[in-house]
Amino acid sequence: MTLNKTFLLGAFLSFFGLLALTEIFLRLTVPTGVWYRHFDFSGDMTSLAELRDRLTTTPKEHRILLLGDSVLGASALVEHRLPQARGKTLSRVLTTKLQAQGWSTLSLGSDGLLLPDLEGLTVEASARPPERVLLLLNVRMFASDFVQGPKALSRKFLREDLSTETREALGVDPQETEESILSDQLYAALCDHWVLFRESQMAKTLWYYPSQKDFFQRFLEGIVGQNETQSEIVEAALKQKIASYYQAGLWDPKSPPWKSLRKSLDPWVRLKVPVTVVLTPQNAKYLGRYFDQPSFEKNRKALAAFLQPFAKSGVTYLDWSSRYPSPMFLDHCHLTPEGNGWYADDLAGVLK
Amino acid sequence: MRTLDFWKGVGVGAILFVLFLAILFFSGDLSASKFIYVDF
Repeated sequence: MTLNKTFLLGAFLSFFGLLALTEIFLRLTVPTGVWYRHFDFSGDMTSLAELRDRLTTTPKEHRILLLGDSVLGASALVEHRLPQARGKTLSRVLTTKLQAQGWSTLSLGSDGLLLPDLEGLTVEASARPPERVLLLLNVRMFASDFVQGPKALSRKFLREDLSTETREALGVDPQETEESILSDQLYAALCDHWVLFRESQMAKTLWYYPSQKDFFQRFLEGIVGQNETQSEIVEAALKQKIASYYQAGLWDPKSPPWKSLRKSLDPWVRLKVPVTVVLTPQNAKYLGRYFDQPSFEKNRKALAAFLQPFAKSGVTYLDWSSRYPSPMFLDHCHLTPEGNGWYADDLAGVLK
Repeated sequence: MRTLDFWKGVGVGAILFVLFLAILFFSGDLSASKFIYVDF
């Protein structure tokens, strides 16, 4: 093969021609919402551009917005190796039920979402308000681990939507360097202006889910089989990670995440959009003696008291944290497929 | 000869494009990236 000018011209035209054609194809199809209808991208959220795409491609009429964390998605189902996990998520089952009631649903539920993330999502979503909002709160959102500092926000790209007060509470990430800031800005710019890049980041979440490590682990398990001892280790590691969410300690309604919760409700009150807030079901038995029941009860009461003044403004609060029995759970807060069916039935009943 | 070289170039360009797509769609791990902090 000779690397002459004609050869290089052919290679250049072919490479950049295909790149341009793909970009044009995506720019024509993404706004129609066809990709979001055919693939379930819920459970992750990779960029602000993706969020805005999702908001603008869902029909505006009779739309219900679902907000919450991993309880809406497939991560726990996938980690427990349940087949067709994405078809058994709360988000999917609830969407099917709500569509039967005539609703058009948009789920922005994402793994690891915290209260400042909800504040940012509300700013974005309220620019194109839905007819109704369902907000699923989880105990972990109020945990002391996430009260302030950089870990209090799970999606950095939502930072620009936050109030000054919330941004100050988040502070500066000590691990942030000039290089990492530049890298984040470059990533955001690529997602904003290059649709192929944006869609590729979203598509990755279809296979590398909940993580790339989990993807390769599943691949290896397909060859050599599952290691039973490992599942016990994984469960022990999860318990250790989440123990602090349920141990003795009272939530502080004056802390920054609660202010974010208020800021997540205020726009809907102003816009007169009815909001249903649910404290999502918890599995108190999962942590055994490490679960502090008195703190849990006091915290539930604190949240109910905090949300009570919103009741006259169209915000309905439902404490469902003790609603389902332990066998309906996969872990501390994620339900089994059957549990998701029950939960979706009950939520659809409330949203009628 | 020049036409044949051109089409060979087109073929190589197409292969490079497929490789480029593979990098875009399969490299990196979002959940563990610095853009997203996930703890569920």
